Amino acid sequence: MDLEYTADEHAFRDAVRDFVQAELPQDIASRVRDHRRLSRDDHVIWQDILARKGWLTGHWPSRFGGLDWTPVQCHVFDEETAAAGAPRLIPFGLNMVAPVLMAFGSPWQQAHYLGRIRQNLDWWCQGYSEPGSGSDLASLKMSAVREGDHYVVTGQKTWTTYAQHADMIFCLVRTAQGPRRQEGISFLLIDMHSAGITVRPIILLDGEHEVNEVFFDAVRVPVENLVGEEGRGWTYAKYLLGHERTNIAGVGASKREVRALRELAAQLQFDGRRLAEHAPVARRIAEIEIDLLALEMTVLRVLSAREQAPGPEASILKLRGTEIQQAISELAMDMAGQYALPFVPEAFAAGSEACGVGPVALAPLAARYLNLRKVSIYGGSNEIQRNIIAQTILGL
Amino acid sequence: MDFTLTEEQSLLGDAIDRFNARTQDSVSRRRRLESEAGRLRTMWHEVAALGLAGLLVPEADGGSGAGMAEVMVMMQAAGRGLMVEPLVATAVVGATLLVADTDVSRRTRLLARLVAGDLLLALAHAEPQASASMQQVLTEARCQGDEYVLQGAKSLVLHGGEADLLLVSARTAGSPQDLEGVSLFLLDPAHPGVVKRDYATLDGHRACELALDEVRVPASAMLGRAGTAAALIEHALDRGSAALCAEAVGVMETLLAQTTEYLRTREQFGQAIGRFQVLQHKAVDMLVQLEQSRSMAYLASLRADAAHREDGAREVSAARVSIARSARAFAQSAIQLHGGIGMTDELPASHYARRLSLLEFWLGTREQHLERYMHLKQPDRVAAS
Repeated sequence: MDLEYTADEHAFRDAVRDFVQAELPQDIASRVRDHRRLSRDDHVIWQDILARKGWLTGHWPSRFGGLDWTPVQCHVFDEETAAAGAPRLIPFGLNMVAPVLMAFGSPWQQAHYLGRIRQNLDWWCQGYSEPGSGSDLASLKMSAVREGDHYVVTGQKTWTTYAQHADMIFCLVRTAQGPRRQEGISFLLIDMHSAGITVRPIILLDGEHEVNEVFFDAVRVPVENLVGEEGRGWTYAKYLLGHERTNIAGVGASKREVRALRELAAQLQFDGRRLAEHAPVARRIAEIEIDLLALEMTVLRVLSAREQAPGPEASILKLRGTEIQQAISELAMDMAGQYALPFVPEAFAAGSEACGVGPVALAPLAARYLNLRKVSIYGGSNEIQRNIIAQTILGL
Repeated sequence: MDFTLTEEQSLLGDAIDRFNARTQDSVSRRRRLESEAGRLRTMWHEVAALGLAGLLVPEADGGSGAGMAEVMVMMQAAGRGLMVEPLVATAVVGATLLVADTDVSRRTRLLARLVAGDLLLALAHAEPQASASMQQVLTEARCQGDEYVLQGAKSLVLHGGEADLLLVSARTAGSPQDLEGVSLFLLDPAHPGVVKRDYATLDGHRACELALDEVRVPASAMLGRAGTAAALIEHALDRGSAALCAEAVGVMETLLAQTTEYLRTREQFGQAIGRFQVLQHKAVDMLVQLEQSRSMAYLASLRADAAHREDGAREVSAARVSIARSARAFAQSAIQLHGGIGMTDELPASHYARRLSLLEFWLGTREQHLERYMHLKQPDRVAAS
């Protein structure tokens, strides 16, 4: 048993820190730290910088062009980049479709798509949920009918994050009707620029445009874009979920946000004293910090125990990670006090100093609180995670 | 970064589990709880024979020369078996203090008895007057010639009633909150002027109240140098805290197994109640609390001996706070999921729930540890590295 980082890991941390300090554009970092809106370009610029260094895919195996980073290195990378205010990496290509392609993709798919993800050439999105299929994902209906060397895809996906930016979408589609509904599902890669695709924005309760409805009207998809075997899509989707939930813990970003809480508490005044000197606030910050420490230790335990994709224990990380993200945003909103109320859209805009009411740092906090209600819903709602744990770990 | 146990560490845990399976059934445990304190002693020799009494004693002194990782393994197993033996008082806190004794011949003699299971120890540090700090010492030791005269009171002395030797903190200088001026004395519990009131605690252990009235001891009864014991006591208590963290994890392991077994077998409305989602989700939250606690027990064990004591102390207190919060909710759920039977003394699970509910009050309460966590400056270990 040993909790210390090795000399190599310390050196790796220094290298990441130096690189981020030198290369991360400061305007992007300040938008991240101030909870401002990020543009497509903000994400692409940062991911291009990492791609040139090879670090966008440092966690990939070297046979696919990665650097074979250990789980601890991945954690350090996440921690350092988040601390510096780097945008979170858009996970749909890097961490979601990529592991599926590595495990089940054809040699052509691996060469073509993994290569493009590694160079940050495609923006991917995820086509899972449908209007009638949320938590009960296996009930999905979007159909793909084989016609010669194409599938013809018709139906609708929803809650599709950043579909408005995307070049590619990976979809679960129904290729057969049968008694075992999971067996009729296939995993298909679709070019978002194909004829017959329409993207319609969904504006969320905080005013943000992050998610979309995506309509497919007889979209023709070449059969070489089928991943693995027809009818095995559910297996691949479950494989993917394990990867999604580890990343969802978000320890690095939460550490940054807790530091931001401390800074805010040191700046704001209440009753003639700094907010940080008020015991109820100081106590809530300390309790969140302690919860986050427990989560971080659990993440390290899970990561260092496994070479393979994590199993159901990833659900524990998703649960705690999202609960903590929400607790941080809730406290931040509480600290804003009455200045949680003003809705000044310009305050979210990149680089804007416009605010008008109250300290500028407070303007986005309530909207952020509302926005983060999503984290206990997406990626398999927290109730679904509890079902998974009850069945697979507790045997209930 | 390595969370795996060595084969030796795993074997240690297995050996204690086997010992508990043989000796710690609920009937014999009940008999021991109801007995006079002396009955503990027979069992303590068997515990010592397993190498547990001398776990932290250096090999050169006849002990196992183990560290806090082994203490974690031991205490998790102790928690799984709900052992009532004074492991924390004697083998962790007491041993840490005795090993630091600078009087070489006394140290050798006492450690030999400790390892053999012939010496039960108790640290008498907490006092009746509660304070936010765990460091406050009002008890006085006045120097008179080559003697000290101890005057004061100690409270909730863990396993103090059956101890062969008390380790008493007393102030030889300074004011109540000062770290400087605290000294540590070895005290025979039968010494004139020492009045003990021994009692059971709700969680199946024992403690005593200690009144010290004009207790005259030779200057040689002091352990270490005058006025410098605060850091040693804090270190011993941090090791004790780490041990309690690990014990909580073991208690939760058994209690979760008992609870899920009940959910699988108890039938209502024509089906196992574990089929009901609302109960499943409560059980899942227990598992999450257990796993967070397990992580924090690792942290506490490995940081209790940190070279930079402040860093380690902060993380030990973080672990105590985190585990106290988890344990409280966990024990509530365990009782609730058992329903009426969970309320009965007859059910072993209720004994586990009781221990888990009260464990947070030993060796610094949750509130004291939260205060300490908030008070200690956050080290920037990453920046320092």
